[in-house]
Amino acid sequence: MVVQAGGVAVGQAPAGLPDPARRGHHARLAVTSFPDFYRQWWPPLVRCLITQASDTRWAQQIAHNTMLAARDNWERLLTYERPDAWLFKVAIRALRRLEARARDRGQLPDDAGSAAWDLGMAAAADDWIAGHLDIVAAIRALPRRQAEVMQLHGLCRYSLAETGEILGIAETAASEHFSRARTRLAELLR
Amino acid sequence: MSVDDQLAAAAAAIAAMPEAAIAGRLAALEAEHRGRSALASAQLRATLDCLELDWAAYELARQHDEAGRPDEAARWYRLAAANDFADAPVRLGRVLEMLAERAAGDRRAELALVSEAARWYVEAYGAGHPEAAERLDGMIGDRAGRRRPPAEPPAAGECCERGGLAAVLEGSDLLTATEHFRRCTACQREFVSRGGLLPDRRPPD
Repeated sequence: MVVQAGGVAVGQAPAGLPDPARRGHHARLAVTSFPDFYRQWWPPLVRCLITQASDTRWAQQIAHNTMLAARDNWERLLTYERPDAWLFKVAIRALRRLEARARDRGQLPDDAGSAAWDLGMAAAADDWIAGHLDIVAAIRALPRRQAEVMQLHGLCRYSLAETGEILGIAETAASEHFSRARTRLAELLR
Repeated sequence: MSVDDQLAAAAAAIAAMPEAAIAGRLAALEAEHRGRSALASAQLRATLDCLELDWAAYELARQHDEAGRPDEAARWYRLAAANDFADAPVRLGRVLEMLAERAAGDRRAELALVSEAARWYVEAYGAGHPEAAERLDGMIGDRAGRRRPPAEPPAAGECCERGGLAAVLEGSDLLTATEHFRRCTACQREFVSRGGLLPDRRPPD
């Protein structure tokens, strides 16, 4: 059984995220319990982080901690216009901090062998990664800001304005990053 | 398959995950939520607060930047840039470059600021800001152009008694020429004026 965004069981059919225009409304009103929220947002959250992280274990740990924080603050989160945007904002900032520290200490695995091994492990554990390995590997090869914009706008279908809001950058900057990322992806996937 | 098609296919399936995989993780999360120590809860809250501080530092820095206070802006941008927040690294590089301009009379301070600006421009370039490379090029170019002009070569009357570097090199073996060079300030000045290069040797007859 597969769970579609919104917690509806739909067999093995591919499931997308809610219509972007309705996503905030959907997240606030249709998801009334934390388990529903978790079912809807765990898959895109952890996969977006894996698509950006240098190490899949860090992505999984940050996604887990972010969901735990959402659980702790669930009542408050329900009052937010976009509880799902809060998830991505927190998780991406946490990943940035962790990787910045690792870069400073020279602990970031940045060679091609480590990256390929890590992605292989991620693909073995998740069918979505395995099924879209080329695009995931290509997004991982992008500069950090471009990868973040590509995840949010390209994969999670947030608008550029929402993407900018989540990342703390202007919409025009998000648009520039997306354009550069798309050009680079086309080169990498040729 | 075009990039857009691949992205659309990945986006369409990103929220689909087997229920068993989700249910197991959800159960583990609920158990952790209920059974965590007060210390573990406080640590998670502190982590969230730190993330907010990055944003606050960045916003504060921007306000100082816009108000024309680069010293204060640099102080707060440093905090945000250290955690790779948004475009803080490129903004920090620009503010530090501005401070280096102001410190132009103090070579040591200027060099420290330029070095730090270069570090953050490199960081910003790696994060996906190509304009940071252009700024770095511009900054280095500006400073290279501002270096002291090379010393004038010594006038004919100032040449050493042996007729200058070329004559010394032509007329003696290496040990003798080196010994002369150590003592002769005229030859040393000529060497510096040539940018640290020796004169061409005369082709053998």
